[in-house]
Amino acid sequence: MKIEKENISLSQLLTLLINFLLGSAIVVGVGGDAKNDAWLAILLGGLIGIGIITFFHFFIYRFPDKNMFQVFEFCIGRKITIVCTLIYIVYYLYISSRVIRDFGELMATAILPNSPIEMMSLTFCLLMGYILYLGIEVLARTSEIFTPYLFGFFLLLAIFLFASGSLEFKQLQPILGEGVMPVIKTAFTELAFFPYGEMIAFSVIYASLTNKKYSLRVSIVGVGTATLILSVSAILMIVSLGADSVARSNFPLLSTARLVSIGNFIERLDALVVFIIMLGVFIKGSLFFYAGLKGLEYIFKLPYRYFAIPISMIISLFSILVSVDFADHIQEGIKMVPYYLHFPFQVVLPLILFLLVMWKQRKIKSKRKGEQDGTEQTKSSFIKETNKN
Amino acid sequence: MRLKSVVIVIAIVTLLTGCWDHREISEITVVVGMAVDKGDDDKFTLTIEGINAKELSDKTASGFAPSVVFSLKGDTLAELSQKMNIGISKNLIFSHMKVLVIGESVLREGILDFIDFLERNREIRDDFNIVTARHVKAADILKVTFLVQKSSSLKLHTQLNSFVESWGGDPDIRLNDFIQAYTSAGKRGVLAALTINGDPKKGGSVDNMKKGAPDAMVVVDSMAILKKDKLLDFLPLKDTRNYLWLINKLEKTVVTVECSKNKFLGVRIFNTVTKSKGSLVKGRAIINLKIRAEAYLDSTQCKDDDLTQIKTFKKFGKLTDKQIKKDLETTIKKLQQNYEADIFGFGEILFRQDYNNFKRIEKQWDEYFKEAIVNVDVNVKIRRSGIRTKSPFSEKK
Repeated sequence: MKIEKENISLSQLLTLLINFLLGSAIVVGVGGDAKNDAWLAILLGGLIGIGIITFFHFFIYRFPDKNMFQVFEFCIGRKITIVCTLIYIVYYLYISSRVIRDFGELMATAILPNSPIEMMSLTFCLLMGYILYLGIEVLARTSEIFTPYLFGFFLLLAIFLFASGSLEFKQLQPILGEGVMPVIKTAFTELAFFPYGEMIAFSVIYASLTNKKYSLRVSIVGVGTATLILSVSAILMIVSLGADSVARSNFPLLSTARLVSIGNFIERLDALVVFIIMLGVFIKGSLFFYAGLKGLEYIFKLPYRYFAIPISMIISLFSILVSVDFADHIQEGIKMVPYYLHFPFQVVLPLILFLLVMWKQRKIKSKRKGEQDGTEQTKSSFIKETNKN
Repeated sequence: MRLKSVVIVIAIVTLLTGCWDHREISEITVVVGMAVDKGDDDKFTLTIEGINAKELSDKTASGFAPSVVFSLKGDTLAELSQKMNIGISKNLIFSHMKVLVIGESVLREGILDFIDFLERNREIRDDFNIVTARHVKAADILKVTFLVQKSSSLKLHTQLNSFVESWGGDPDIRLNDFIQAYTSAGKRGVLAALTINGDPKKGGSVDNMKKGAPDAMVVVDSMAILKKDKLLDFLPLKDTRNYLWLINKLEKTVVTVECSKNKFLGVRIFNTVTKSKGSLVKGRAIINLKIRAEAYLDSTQCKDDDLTQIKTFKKFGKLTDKQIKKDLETTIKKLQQNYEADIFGFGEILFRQDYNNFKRIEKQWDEYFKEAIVNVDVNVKIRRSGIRTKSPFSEKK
């Protein structure tokens, strides 16, 4: 069965990146350990994120048309790769269902308390399955169309908060009261994995990119923009609620939006925030989902569309089964996932893979002295890419 | 195929109804006020005021009570708020609450843990006034009807907000302020205290709102100061304004200044900013407050001072500075010496501006506050003097 090639443009990649990074990070709020300096921690985390995306770039562009699983195959052969891929699929789908659960919890707590969370999860996942059944291009277009609204709503929220007089900028002080250590610690132990490290899901996307010349630049802009939005939202939360209240909020941005009240007329703006969150969660969940589907495609050599609807139902189911209550869900996300899942899958395995690739290419290079083979093209195109960037 | 798609569409329609929690407007009663008193055997008595919407509209009003006030006793507000149908017919909606009255008894006992419910509940929002009732039960405050806005809570909400705008007599405490004052190490809480002028029993009847001078009226009485969750004392209204001034929340006010013996100026302050700097020097907190204000002269009884002259403006400005400085310092001194309660958030200023030093003394802040040196620097610029120059009583020609 022929697996078709899909195309994503640079602007689509940009919006995908932004929404992906906002995703569940904006639901639960990140960098809370740094208290008043959460925004600084996020900025620092953004630098790490730029580092991460650059690393993925150099790595993936040694093989411009291959996704991560195919790179694996190049290094360690198909049989072992299938095992690795299976593990990665489970990781991706698990994170996808966690993201859906984040959103479900938000809806069930704050917006639709009497609706069963199962129903929200099911309809959400059906939509995800349908969109990915139509292909990643459709997802990319969706993201491209809705992102301007995200910016608009975010700006509106900031303006309304400012206009309703709930911002007290002195609450940002003391800046770096406890020194730089908490900021650095938060950035490296928390933000590096969530949300920035999760960009590993993009390793299956870059292969579909049409214009590879500017992709690094665009990726860096994307990460930078998302970081700015996250940082500004952290500032908004701190200056409106106060660091202490933010720490006690399950959904700080939502609590912030609830403060808006202009002339007893413009108020109850929860919907704006829910839109921002919904778009982010939708894109993030779908991208992890897509990464998992790509893995399945690799294993079964069937177009991933075959799996879209069934797997979306599995995600829906597991978004419910993944935890029994909210505390369980958050606890798992803070104590378990970063150490047992994010670290090995975002750092250890890609690094091993990177070293393997280096080693393999060197071997091929030394072997090729005198004789020409197919990897020449790969190599030269890689050099071309790096020179341009 | 056609049939199949029709079936699918119908199935999806049933999935996507999304009306699990719909409530029709005719099936709800909107709660506008909540009062919490101490229960006799139970922990709390919760009183709610639900409006009778029909009576609030001029067209449909027929002279009955504008709202229904109902109390229940119990240990958690969460349960009580859902159990109100013991007496009230419709479902209650709490999202439009305007006023929360906390009874004096509750404050004296320090049982403020019900606040958690208000913060946690998704329906209740952070836009209602929090006040306390002095001398009377909190529940009674909600019962007093009023000519103009009928429902007590609606009246209070408007009244308090107007009072902040015109004179600065209500500390304007919302849920978030209240909680921040509780959690902060360098700040103590305050609440506006209300009381009833007249007979609370008569206040509850519809007849009360038929009179131009009602039998009972809810008035702003004073300001309650708290230490953590315990009530310390009530301060007179004048201190409320000074409090607002010191924390830079004052919008407008009128200051009465003595210009010569038993002669007074009325100076309307319309634009004022308070800047605060703080640091710990040699184990003593030093707070520098810089108050800059613009004002216009609203009235003068000193008939001989010619308001066409620059020097008169300067003189009056100086007098105003002095008066305000004296007032503010009196309030600060009172809080330092009598109560050791830092309601002005001076500790918070130190926390923000001198973090490392403050961190060390955080636990003993009350003692440091008592010893703190507070420098108040006031500079009021009188810009204009209304639409007349000399006083009509002026003897100079």
